[in-house]
Amino acid sequence: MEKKRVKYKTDFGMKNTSALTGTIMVFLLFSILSDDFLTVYNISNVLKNCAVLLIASMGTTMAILLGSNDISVGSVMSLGGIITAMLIKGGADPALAAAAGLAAGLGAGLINGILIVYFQANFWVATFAMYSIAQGIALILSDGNGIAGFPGGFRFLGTGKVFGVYFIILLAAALLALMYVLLNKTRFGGYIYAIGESERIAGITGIPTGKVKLLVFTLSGLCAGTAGILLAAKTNVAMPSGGAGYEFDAIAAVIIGGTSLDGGKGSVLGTAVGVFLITVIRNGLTVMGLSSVFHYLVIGLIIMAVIVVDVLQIQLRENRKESDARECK
Amino acid sequence: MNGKPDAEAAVSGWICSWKQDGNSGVHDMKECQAILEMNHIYKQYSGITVLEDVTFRAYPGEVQVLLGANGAGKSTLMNIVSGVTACDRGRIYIGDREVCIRSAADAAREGIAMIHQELSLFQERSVYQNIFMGNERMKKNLPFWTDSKRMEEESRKVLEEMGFAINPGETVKNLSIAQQQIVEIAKAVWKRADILIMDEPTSSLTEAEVARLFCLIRRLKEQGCAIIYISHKLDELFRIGDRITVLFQGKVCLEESMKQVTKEQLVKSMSGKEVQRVKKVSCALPQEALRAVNLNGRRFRDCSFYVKKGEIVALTGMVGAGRSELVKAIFGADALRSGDIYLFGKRVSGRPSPSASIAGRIGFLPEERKQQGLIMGMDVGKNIVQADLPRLFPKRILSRKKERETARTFAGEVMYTQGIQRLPEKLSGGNQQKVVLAKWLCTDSDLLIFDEPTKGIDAAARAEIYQQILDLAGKGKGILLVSSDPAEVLQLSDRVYVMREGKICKELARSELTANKIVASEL
Repeated sequence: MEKKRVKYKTDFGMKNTSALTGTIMVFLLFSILSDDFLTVYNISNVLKNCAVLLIASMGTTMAILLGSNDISVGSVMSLGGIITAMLIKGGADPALAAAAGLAAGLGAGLINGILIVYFQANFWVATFAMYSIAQGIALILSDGNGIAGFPGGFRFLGTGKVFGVYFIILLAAALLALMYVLLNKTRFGGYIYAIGESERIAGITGIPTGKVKLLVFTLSGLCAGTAGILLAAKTNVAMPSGGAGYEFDAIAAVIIGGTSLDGGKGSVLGTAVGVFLITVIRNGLTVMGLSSVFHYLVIGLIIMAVIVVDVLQIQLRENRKESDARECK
Repeated sequence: MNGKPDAEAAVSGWICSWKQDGNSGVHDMKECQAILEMNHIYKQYSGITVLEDVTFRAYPGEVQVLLGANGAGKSTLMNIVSGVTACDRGRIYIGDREVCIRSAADAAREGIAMIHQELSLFQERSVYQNIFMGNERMKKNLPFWTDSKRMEEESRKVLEEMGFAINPGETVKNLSIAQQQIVEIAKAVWKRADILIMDEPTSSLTEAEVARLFCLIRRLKEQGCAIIYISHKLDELFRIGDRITVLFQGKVCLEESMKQVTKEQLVKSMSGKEVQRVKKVSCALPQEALRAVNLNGRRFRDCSFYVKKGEIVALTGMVGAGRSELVKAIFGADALRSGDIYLFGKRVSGRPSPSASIAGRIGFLPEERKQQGLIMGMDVGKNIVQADLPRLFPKRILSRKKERETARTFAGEVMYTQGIQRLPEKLSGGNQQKVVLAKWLCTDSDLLIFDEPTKGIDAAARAEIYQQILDLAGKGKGILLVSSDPAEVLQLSDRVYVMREGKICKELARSELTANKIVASEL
């Protein structure tokens, strides 16, 4: 007695499409409410603003899929930006300076990973410590002051165009594709999902759980470093707390994108949708003339809505399953 | 995966095989070289001896059965082979090479695959991803890119070869438990392991599926695979087994060729020789403490039984028969779908919940003492009064003095002498159990449910707990005892219910109790 439900996979591993539906609805709403929203200038601005958050939240997606989290993302972004900016100001080659910024991000992530894997630290505690440490170093190095004004070559990263599209958008899209492949097509990606679902089973299956976790946190730091450098290039200024709050937006994007905080379930494409939704709301509210003080409230409400919709969907599915089981009897 | 022995090793192996043949004399000469040999294995868990001087062998092309009651040490022994735990003492040989297995990956390298009793599949991943987890196939020209098409194809082939039609692309959570068990088996089979351990592989398979599995086992045998087969279903063992090792309380008590043993012999050796009936006077009173009528829940169905005041009623059966789920549901800690519960003659209205059960004077001593019985970070005194706070402090303001006094009173009642300021994690299992018991005496429970009360407790403390249970019954309290240990059941109980596959299949009065009878009805 086998009933097979044939289902074709068109959702690219995104288990719920409610975030996508929500984004389209919000997008349409703003288009109707404001004349300035749906313009080429504004949309490319939205996408440009997406890029930095998207790159930062890719690392967060990996950490959350693993069943952990990384709250040091924002400070590590600040640190990466500050180091790069200071080296450029000190006369270093911009490419070399950016490499140093990336190395700082990578190093911060690696330390997170070592604490969590080899010292068995709780991921909240480890990344919380790093949150404070990275912020502290950024403040000490910059003496609390922002560093503004970069040479054109470096600014190209944030504001340059290739074939009429902002380079930063192309870069984010390329990294998104790379992350999609990493999570869905490689061994490493499969292991992240597996560990996220059950570290115990992963262990007895022979998956090198320690190595995978170490690499995830290192990559998360690298993503944050990259995002920090791009943020500096885009705004032409590196603030010692420029990345502050990005960890919140990144986690919000991951949750809105349908990735489970329990780990093992979700998709980086969902995160991309979440990033887009958050940016559209920020942008739309600004375009409509609402001050930024409302942004946090609205984003919080949306996360709540996502939670409620998710729970309702799960209940619906379970009710259906139970009635199916009763029919079978 | 299979290390080819060099010429020298082959010769010494041949000699070794002669010697072995001379010793045991059970098997014929051509395939007497054991592929797995575990010599004098010892293992202790927190001071309790689980394995004592166990020597165990498995031979290529044969099914080696491992039998024993719950807690006899089978799983521990197999966990040692598969790298989940390490042994304290003893040597393990694969072929004639001494090996050191520290992890699951080590075991895989030595050609050992284990099918765990508890399903260890990733529910959110697909069938083929589970089958190839840790051994992914990669694309030829893109070595970092997993070749899902090829894995899906190979999985389909393996499953078909095994004789089962399961869509390898399906997500595991959508499969039935039986199908999941087959995937679990496929995970081990495709690796062409030299040694395949199956821990209760048939627990949720139908008869037809079991037949197909046995077909597969016979084929694997022909290919020279050594199979270690753990099951409680005796009929099955006679159908598929070649040799048998029986463990009793961590020691090997029988090692035979399957053809030489009878069912009666196995039952006898499983229940242990030293078990004797103890004289016991029943203190059962005419009033009922608990009556359950047609209870249905997560892993039990249509269960009806009763416990009188002052009576000790044992609920026995194999692990997974649904005993713990049943008693937890009565206490309100597990789901109860339907059925009626009467407490001291009164029907319980509404769903049972722990707080209602405490008010209704039920005490529950769970099997997982450390997780569910005690709050490990809180001192003994606080643990004792924990369940009775509403009654002790009706104004909701705690008084340290009253708390200490109450805790001391009940600590004295269970003869706990370690001081109430200590933390439970520093105590022995026996003392921990006393604290849990004190907690329920504090709430004035008249019906006590003991779930495996002596699990992980040494002999001296065990005797003390038995005496306490008997005393409690003497004071007119109803006792429901969940136990897998036939000796314990014999010693304590006035009446026994045997559960099998979620149902109460037998009721035995004290006059008809023998260890063999209990074990035989469980199987």
